[in-house]
Amino acid sequence: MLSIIYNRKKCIGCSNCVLVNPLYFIMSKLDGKSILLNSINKNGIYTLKLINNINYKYIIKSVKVCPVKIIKIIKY
Amino acid sequence: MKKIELLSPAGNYDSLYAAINSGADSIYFGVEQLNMRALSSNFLIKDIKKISNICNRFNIKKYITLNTIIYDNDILLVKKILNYSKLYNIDGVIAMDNFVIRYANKLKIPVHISTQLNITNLETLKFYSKYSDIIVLSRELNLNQIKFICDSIKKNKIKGRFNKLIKIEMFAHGSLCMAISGKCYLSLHSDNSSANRGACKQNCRREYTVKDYNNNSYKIENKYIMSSKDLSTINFLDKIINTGISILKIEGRGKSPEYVSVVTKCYKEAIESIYNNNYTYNKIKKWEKEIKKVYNRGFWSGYYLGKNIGEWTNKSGSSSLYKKIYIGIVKNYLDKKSIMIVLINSYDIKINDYIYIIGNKIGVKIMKIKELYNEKKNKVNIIKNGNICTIKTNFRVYKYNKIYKVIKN
Repeated sequence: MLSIIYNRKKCIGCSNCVLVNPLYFIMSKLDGKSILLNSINKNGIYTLKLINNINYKYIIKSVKVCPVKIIKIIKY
Repeated sequence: MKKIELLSPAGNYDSLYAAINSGADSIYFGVEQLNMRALSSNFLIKDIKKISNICNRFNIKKYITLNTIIYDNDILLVKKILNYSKLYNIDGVIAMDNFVIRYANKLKIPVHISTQLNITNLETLKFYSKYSDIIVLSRELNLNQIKFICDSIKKNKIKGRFNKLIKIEMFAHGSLCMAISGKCYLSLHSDNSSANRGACKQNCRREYTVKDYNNNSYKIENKYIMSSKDLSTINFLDKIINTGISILKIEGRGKSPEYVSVVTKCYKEAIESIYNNNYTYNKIKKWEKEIKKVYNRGFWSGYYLGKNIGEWTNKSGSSSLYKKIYIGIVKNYLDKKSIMIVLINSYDIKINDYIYIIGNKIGVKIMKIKELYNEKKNKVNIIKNGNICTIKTNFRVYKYNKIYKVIKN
């Protein structure tokens, strides 16, 4: 099982993650940073636990394109 | 004759106090992610109020930078930042994007046209004068071209939004980009990290080998083929002031507080001595020596004196003569005895060491340790790591200020 960890404080709002992973990320018009959908916030670190049958190759794209390296995928 | 304004960078509160204490006439800072130093520590929107209050207390001007490219999803954030700036009387916004310029105009906040807009001639300046008050010229101009622009503003009475003559701002000191006025795409190509969104990964500062398609590598003198030396104008500052510019800007929001302190102090002294007619060779040598003690990649005069080729550094990182290492933190300050109690939690501290005290409210102070006392109030020559010591100071320090030892690089 995988989860996406997203450190939102350091986001610079380039919107690359939204482009490659539109199922999980959208841009916020309030502060220009991206939002990890359905995630849980704990001190600015957003976590989304993914259920089975997730295409790892698909979600790893956002990790690769993030210029500030604030998106991580971990196993739980 | 009105003195030139010295504009210093403030990347964090320590640098802000360092700039104020070293004699800056104004400071500039960025908030959130919409400025050219999005990767370094930045202020938040709520800090605008505090920064404004601090600057008002010391009677210096404060400008906010908002000079990245702006996407549609940033519009609300831009509006929020500018509304806050208006609310807390920020003296100007350094802008590149037309929406930022227009919205600042609407709120009647003075606008500085950023160097990112690359203003290199009078006609472009005339165009932007309708929307701004201060114009930062392109860093690639030479002194004659700058003088022509400044003279023409007076001659043709080119006025800005607030019906005053347009002021010219120039970079005097700091890192230079290898691309024209910061418009570089290297970082975007290699790391998907746009320099024009403040996320420059500094590819130009790395070592490279040059090869052709047959895999023949070229013999090059310097492997840092793109890393420009830093700009320094302290040795011809009189010529810069003679051009008629109004604001002298120091680059370095991403740099350390002691860099801000030393550079601001030297330029302030240089400006004072030019106006007092005692800008001498010996003084210039002294300032140059001081500036070399903090972060630098070696110095050159930029394009101001008309060089036909840029100068490139031959080193990775800083060529500064000294560096700082963290040694401890101020636990308390006793006002009556003017002594500070310091917890040493890294390395040792000795008599005759030079230390920086850096932190909130104090900025940067440098001092030589003349007397050291241990926990039992006995005079000692050295305090080992992990102990508490008492040091006499001749200035006020504050709890949680950090202590650094100055050592040779």
